[in-house]
Amino acid sequence: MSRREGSLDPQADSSVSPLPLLEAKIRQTHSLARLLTKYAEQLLQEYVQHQGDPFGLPGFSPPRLPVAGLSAPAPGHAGLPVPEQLQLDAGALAALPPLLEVVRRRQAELNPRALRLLRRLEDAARQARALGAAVEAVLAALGAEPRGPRLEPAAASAAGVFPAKVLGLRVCGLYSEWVSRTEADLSQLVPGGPA
Amino acid sequence: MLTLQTWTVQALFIFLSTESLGELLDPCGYINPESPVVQLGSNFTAVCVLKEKCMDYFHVNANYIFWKTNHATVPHEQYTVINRTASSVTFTDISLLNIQLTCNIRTFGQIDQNVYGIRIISGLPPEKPKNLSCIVKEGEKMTCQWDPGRETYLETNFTLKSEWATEKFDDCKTKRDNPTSCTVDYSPVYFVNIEVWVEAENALGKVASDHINFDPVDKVKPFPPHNLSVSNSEELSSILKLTWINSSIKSFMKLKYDIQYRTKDASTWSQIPPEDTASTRSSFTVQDLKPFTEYVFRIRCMKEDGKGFWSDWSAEESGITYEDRPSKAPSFWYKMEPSHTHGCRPVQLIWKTLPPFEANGKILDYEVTLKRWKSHLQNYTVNDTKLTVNLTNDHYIATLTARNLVGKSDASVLPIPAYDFQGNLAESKCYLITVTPVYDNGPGSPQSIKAYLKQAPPSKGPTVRTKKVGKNEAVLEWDQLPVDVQNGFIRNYTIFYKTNIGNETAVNVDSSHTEYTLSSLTSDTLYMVRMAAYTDEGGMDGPEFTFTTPKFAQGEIEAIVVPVCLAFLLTTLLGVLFCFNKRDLIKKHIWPNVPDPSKSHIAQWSPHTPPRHNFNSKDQMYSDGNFTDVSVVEIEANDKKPFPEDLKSLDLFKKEKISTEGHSSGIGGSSCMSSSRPSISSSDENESAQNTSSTVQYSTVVHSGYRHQVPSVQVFSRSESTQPLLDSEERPEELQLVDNVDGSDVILPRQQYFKQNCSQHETSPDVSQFERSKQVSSVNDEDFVRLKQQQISDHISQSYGSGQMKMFQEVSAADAFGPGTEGQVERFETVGMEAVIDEGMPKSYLPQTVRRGGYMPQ
Repeated sequence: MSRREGSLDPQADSSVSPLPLLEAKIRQTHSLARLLTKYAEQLLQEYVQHQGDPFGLPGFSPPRLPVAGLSAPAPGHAGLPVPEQLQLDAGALAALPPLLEVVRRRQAELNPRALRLLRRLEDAARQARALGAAVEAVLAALGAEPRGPRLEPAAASAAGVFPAKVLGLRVCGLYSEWVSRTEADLSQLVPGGPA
Repeated sequence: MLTLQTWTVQALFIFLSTESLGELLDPCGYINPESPVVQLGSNFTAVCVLKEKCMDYFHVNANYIFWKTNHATVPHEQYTVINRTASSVTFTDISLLNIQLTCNIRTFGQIDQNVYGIRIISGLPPEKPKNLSCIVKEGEKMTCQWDPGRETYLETNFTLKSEWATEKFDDCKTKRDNPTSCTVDYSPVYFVNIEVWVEAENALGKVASDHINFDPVDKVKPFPPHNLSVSNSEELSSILKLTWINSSIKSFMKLKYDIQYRTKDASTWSQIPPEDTASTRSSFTVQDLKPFTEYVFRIRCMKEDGKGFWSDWSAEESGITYEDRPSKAPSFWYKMEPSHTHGCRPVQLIWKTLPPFEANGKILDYEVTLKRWKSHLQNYTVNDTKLTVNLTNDHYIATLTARNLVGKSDASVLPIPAYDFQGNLAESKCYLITVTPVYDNGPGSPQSIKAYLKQAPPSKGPTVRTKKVGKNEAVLEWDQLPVDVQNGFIRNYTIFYKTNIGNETAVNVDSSHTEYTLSSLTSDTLYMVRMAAYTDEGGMDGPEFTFTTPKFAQGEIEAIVVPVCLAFLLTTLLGVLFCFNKRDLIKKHIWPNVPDPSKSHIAQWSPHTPPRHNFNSKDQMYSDGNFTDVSVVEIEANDKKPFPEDLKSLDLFKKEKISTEGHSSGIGGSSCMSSSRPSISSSDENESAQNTSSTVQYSTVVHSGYRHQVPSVQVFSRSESTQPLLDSEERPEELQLVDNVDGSDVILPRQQYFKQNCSQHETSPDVSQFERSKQVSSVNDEDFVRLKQQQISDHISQSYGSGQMKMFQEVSAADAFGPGTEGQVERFETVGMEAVIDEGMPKSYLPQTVRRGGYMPQ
C-alpha cells in the first residue's frame, strides 16, 4: 500500500531522484483533480436531472444550506500559501465521501432506478478519497503537515424529501467546488502546465 | 437348501445392518483418505479398515485385504498390515492423473469381495502467474491477463485482485473458459495508481503473482482518430493534408500519432516519421508525394509518452494530389507514307501517351511544331497521339509537347531528314550511330555505337608529364587524346624513356589508362620520356618530356638530419649536465673566483645590516679561492668599556676603511670585501684561496663591540699594510695570557678569530659564530698569527649568541665575503662551526708586511 499513493519513498527505487518523482506526483494529482472536476460537473447535472422540478428549472435557486463538517472554499483561500491551500483541500476531500455516501443512500430511496446517478455518487466518494490521499502525499513530499485533525462530519441528514434533495444538491455542489479548487491550487505547483 | 438359508441370513443381516444405520448400503469397511488429491510424483498411502461385524461374518481380517488400482491388483510388496482390521497400501511417485483404488477381501471359497473404493486425483499446485499486464480500452473497463504457468491437471481458480491506496475493489473471478484474463467490473479512474495481482488456487495450493502498480492512464488504448479526411493543394502538387477528430480522451491525455500511406495500387505502407507526429494534433500535411496520384491514408494514436497501447487503425481514407506539368515529353517518331508525290511527301508523326507518373495530370492535348530549316514554322494542336502532315522533301525539325491543366512538358525533338538524304561520311571521323526500334505501340529503347568509316593513325601523340618524381620511380600521366585527333580507336599507348647515355626502354600501356609508374630508375639522373598512341592503323609520338630524379628520396634527408641533430642535442645536454655536476671542479681549475675590488661596499657593512639567518649548506661549495688572505687579530676589549666607545670604534673603523681603501691590494680593498663567494670546506679550495690571496695580505685591528654590549676582544685583521705591527701582534703569547687571566669556562686552544670589524651588529645564531671562525682559520691557516684569547673562547663556548661575538663573527664574515648577500655570510658561518670543533692544531701567524694603515684599532 505504501508504494501507491504515498509512493514518493525513494527506497522504492533508489536510482530515481525524488525531485522528478515529486514532479510526476504533482502532475498526476493535478490531472486527477482536473478529471474529477469534469466528473463532478457531470454528477451535478445528473443529480439535478433526477430530482424533478423545481431543480431543473432555470430560475431555481435553492438555499445554500450549511453542511455539517464542510464549508465551501473561503474567498481568501486563493491568497493562502500553497501548502495551506492544499491542507484545506485535503481536509475537505476527506469530509466529502461520507456526505456523498449519505446522499447516495438517500437517492437510493428517492430514485432507486437512477442507477447511473447512484454509481456516479458511489464513484465520486471513492474518487474524493483517492484525490485526498494524493494531495496528502504531495503535502508530505513537500514537507508540510498533511492535514490537521480530521473533522468528522456530523451526520448530515434532512428529514423531508425536498430538504434531502437540497442537501444532495449542496453536497454535489461542494464536491464540484472543492475538486475545482484543488485543481487550481495544484496548478501552481505544476511546472510548465499540466501533462 | 442350506445354502439358500445361509444367503437369506446374510441378506437379512445386511438389510438389518443397513437399516439400523439409516443407510442403503453399509460397506464392510472404508478407505482413508476418502477423496485424496495427490501431487504428481509424490508418494501416497491409503488405509483400508475392516469393520468387526464384517470380519466376523466373513471370517477375515486385515491379512485378507488386497488392493486394486483401475482393476489391477497391487503387488503385495506395497501392502502393510497395520493391525487386525487395517491394512495400508503405499504408492511411490504417483504419475497417473486419475486412479481408482479399491480395497478387497478374499472370503471363503476364493470369493473376492470389494470392500470400498476411492478415486485418487493427481495434479500439480499452481505456479506463480507471470507476465501480468493490464489494458484499459477507452470506453471499457480494465482487463488484465497473465501467464498461468504450467498445467496443473486440477481445477485451478484465478482471481484478479486490485486496490487503491484508499480502496479495495471487488475480486475479479475468471471464467472457466478463459482462466488467463479477467475484466474488472468497475470503471477505471485515471491518474490514481492501482495495484493489481493475481491469485491462483487449487486443491494443492495457492500462489499470488507479483503485484503491479500503475496509473490506468498509462495502460490506455484510446479510440482511433475518426472522420479522417484528405484534401490536396492547388499550390503544391506534392502535398496532401489530413484532418481528423481525436477521441475524447484527448481532453486529459496528450497523444502522438502514427500515420501511414501508400499509393492506391501499392500493397506496402510508408510511414510518416514518428518525430513529426509526436504531439497532439488534428491535422497533418504529408509532403513529397507524386503529383496527380491517389494515396490511401490511415492513422492511429496513443499516449504521447509511449505508455499504453496504440489505438486501432482508423478507417482508410484516400486523396489525390493536385496536377503538375508533365515531367517528360512523349516519345516521338515518324513514319513515311508510301504515297510519295513529286516535291511532297506525307509523313505520319506518332507518339505515345505519357504514363501517369510522367503526365502528372490529365493530358488535355499535344502541340506539334514543324520547322523547315530555320524559316517556316507550322503549329498543330492534337488531341490524338498521331498527326499526318504533308512535307516537302526538305529537312524538318519536329517538336512535340504534352499539355495538362497546369502546363506543358518539355519538348521532344525529332529531325526529319530530307527526302534524298544520303550519308556523306568522312574517313577518320568518329560517328555515333543510334538505332531506335519501333514497335506497334511506340519506340523501344535506342542503342548507340561509335564507328569510323576508316581509321588512321592519330594526328597527335599524347603529351606526357610527370605527376610525381621519386628517387627511383616516376609517375607519369597524360590526357586522353581529343576525339578529333584520335582518327580511330586508341588501342594502346607506348612509353619510351631513356637516360642521356642509356638505351631507350619502351613500355606498352592499355588505352584505358592515363597514368603509369616508371620504376627502377636511377637517382639523380636525367630522363627523357615520350609517348605514342596507336590506333589500328598506326601510332603517333607525342612531345618529349625530361625530368630528373632526385638524389635523395623524399624524407631521406630528414631521416638523416633529424637523428644527427637529436644526437647532438643529447650529447650537448649530457655535457651540460656533466659540467653542472662538476661545476666546482671545473671552476676551480679554469676560472677561480677573483674578488672584484670595484664591487667593494664597505659602506654596507653598517651595523644596521639586517640579520642573516638563512643557513644554506649548499652555499658551502663556494670556493674559498674567493678569499683573500685575511688575518684577524682580536684583542680583548675592556668589558667595562662603555657603550659609546663601541660606537667610537665603529666610527673609527669606518674612517679607517676610508683611509685604507686606497691602499688595498688589487684583489680587495679590505678583507671585508675580499670575497663574494665564500667556501672553505675543501682543502683544494683552500689551496686555491691561498694562491689567490698570497698577494692580498692585510690586517685590520678591530675593536669589537656591539651597541651596548661590551666587546670582549679587539680584533686585528692583517693587511698588506707596511705599517709596523702593534705590540700585541708581535707578542701574541702575551695576549693569550691576558685572555687566560680573564677566564673562561671553555677554552678553545689555538683557536683564532682573525676578524675585521665591519660593524655588523645584528644578532646571529650562535652556531654561525663557530662557522665563521673556522672559515677564517681554514683559509688563512699558515698566515694567521694565532692570538689566542681566552675571552673569545669564552664567548664562543658559553654563549655564542652574545653580541660581542656576533659582531666579530659578522665582521669576519663580511671580511671574507665582502658585502655580499646574507646567504654568503651564512655559508661562512656554517663552516666556521666545524672549525671550532675540529681544529685542534695550534697555528700561528706573523704579519709579513705592515703597510700604512695596517692594524688600525677599530
